[in-house]
Amino acid sequence: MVELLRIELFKIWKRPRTYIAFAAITAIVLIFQFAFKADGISYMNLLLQNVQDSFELNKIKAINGYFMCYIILNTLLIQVPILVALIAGDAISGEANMGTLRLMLTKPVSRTEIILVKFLASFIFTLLLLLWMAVTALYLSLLIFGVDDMLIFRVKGDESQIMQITKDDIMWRYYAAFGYAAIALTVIAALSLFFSVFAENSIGPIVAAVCIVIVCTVISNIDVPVIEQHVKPYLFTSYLVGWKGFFYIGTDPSNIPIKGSIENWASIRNSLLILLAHIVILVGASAWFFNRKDILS
Amino acid sequence: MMKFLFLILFLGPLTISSRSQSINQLVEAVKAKLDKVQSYQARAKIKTNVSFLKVPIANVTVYFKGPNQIKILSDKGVSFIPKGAMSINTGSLLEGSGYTVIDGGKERMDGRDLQIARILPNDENSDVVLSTLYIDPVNLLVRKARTTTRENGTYELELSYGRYSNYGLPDKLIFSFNVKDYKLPKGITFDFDDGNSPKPTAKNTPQKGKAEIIFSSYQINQELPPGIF
Amino acid sequence: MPAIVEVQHLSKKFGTFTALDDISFSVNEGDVYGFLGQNGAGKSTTIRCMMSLIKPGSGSIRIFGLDLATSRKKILSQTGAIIERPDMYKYLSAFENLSIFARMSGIKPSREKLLQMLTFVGLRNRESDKVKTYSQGMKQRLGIAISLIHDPRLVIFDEPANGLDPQGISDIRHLILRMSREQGKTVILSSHLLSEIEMMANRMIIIDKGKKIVEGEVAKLLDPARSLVKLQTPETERAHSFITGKGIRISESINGEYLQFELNRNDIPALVGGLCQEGIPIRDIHAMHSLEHYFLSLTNPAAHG
Repeated sequence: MVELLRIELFKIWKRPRTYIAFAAITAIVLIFQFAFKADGISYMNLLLQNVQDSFELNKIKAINGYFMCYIILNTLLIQVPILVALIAGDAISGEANMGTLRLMLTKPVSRTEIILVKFLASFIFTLLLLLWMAVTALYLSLLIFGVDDMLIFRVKGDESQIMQITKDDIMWRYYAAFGYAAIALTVIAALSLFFSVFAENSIGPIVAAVCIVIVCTVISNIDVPVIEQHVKPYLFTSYLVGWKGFFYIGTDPSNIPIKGSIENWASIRNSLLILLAHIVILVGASAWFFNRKDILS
Repeated sequence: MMKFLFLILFLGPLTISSRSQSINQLVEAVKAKLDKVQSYQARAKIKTNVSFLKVPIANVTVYFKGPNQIKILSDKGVSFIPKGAMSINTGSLLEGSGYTVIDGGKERMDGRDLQIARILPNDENSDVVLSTLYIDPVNLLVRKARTTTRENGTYELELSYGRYSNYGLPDKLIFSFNVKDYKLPKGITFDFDDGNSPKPTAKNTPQKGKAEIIFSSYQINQELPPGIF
Repeated sequence: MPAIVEVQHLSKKFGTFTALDDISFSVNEGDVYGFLGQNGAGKSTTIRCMMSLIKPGSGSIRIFGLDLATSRKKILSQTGAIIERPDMYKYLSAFENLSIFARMSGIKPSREKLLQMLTFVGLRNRESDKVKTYSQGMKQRLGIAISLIHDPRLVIFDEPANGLDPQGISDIRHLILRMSREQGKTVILSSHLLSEIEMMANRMIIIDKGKKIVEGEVAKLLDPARSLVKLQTPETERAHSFITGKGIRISESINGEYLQFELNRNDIPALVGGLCQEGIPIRDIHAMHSLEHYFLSLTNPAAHG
């Protein structure tokens, strides 16, 4: 199993397309950083809206490294599923397309092992992507934009809120958020892998996984009570943005944020469990179907 | 101690005689008292209480330079300082190119009889339309002030005095102001719905915001660091 | 020679299409066993079943005396195969491909051993080049290296000459014969070309439309004088003992239905006479044409019908 995983990672390492994902992330992050360095104030004005009529705020200081990372993740974590699907959706179907699946399966390795190894390799790839995001979006932003308290702009139901987290209370939230994002993206990996089992070229499963993510995300964001109550809880995409929960700081009765607190940990925990259940079911189903599949490619 | 004695001797006759004074004289007396402070530098904490803002208590330094310049600087880079708090200096209500004082009667508040003075600026272009001062005639202190402006709505000050009452400087100040409802355009945040959404309310009316400013120390009439104003 | 592969009553359907219909055969240790059939006859499906790429609908496959359904890993660790095209990771070098598949086979060969194998298939000095720069013949040779690197007892090649130029075909033939003679490996070889099987195999099976037509030694099957006789009789047992009494080996029999055996065409009348004398009823007797003629009629019905 370890040897197989090593082989799988070696193959990913050697493929040029692997680096597309890292290049894409780097490009997006750099563009964001450049744009905000040049004109972050406009964006801040958009977020602050009429709050500026009533309050003084040092907007330059508010556009700090922590804030930047949050903004970048906000956008990037909607795009990264595509990058994860690009690798995981290719896991089995790419081998089928290349013809190597035949060769692989004539080796003394069980199909379940192959699914698990493919899944683990996609998971490790996802972790590396997130690590790279942490390096570029977080650490590089901190280097460029400096350290200060972080403002979180949030729409909660019918209300909009601005939360301020003190700078000594942020890092652990990012680590937790990256951890959560790893689980959330692994669901995408598992979903792509699942589709990958049925296809003989990699375009199909990648497109299928990405389409599902897009469609479900769009549905998740429809503001109709019927959908919010009866559809949204069953869409895994509703839980993909759960990493933000770590930045929703708890407050005392007089609305003052409590350092080190999270507004609703139970909700994050439940989201994590739901995502983990998705992973287990999808990987299990992938193995089940793969074991029963006739290899005709 | 000598200073304290001096103050009592100096202010004593003033407070006794004030009872018989007309409202105009009372306001002038308050102004004179406030004018004793040419500048100050004070440490304070601001606790903002606005429903959409979840921000920690801000540690600030308040700089004042007579007649009406005030600056609040936060210790930290990021803090929300209520804009109206720039006018927390009650003296500034009595500045400008003259005003008309109207007697608003008396009101009892917290066991004190307060004299109400309505101040109408003579300058028709002034942003302030009307200020109502609730003056403690015994101590010549403004206990409460309500200011109606053209641009920034109405704000209210409630002042509590202690160690610096001789200078007319409050220990604690509750500043109430209008804030417009804050509404982010949906879709730019992609928020995580943690299932705890508050019930939709049909409010689009301006809300009241409050800021509690607690002063811990004043340095009065000493030179201010350069470059503040 | 003990049978190294025993396939019995293998059937497989894809939807309503019957790909394999009751195929049985056995391969002995040391054989170069030919699998002859038209394209689409079921050769690849059979081989894929043997490599567990396809689950048989029914029937059993035993390799090295083990049941494939229960001892898949053990069997595959001693088997090497090229199924259809030899496909590898095009973005990796030959050396990297060989190393990967060796490790997947459960061995960790030294660099020397890998290079030695690449020398054996004639790819030394090109081992660092990416496979995408390889010709079809080089890929085929690399495929052979991959199928041999873990020193398997059984090697299966599905249409190894496909897509190769004449020189390539000749090279592959040499390689296969060398591995059989020098290394004593059992080789199963599929082809749609009788000449190819004839040149390399010692035993063979012909399948058509998913059914076994005949199985036997190449030399005998391709002997023009030989006919394959199918005798239909309700009394198979008596017929069986009568025929074996004449020194004829029965190749296939179904009780109460028929017997099948090889016989020189000229001996058929005498045999029928003998059976009649014994009072064994004959429902039908059918002697097939020579195998070559028969196979050509399969591949080109218009010309040989």
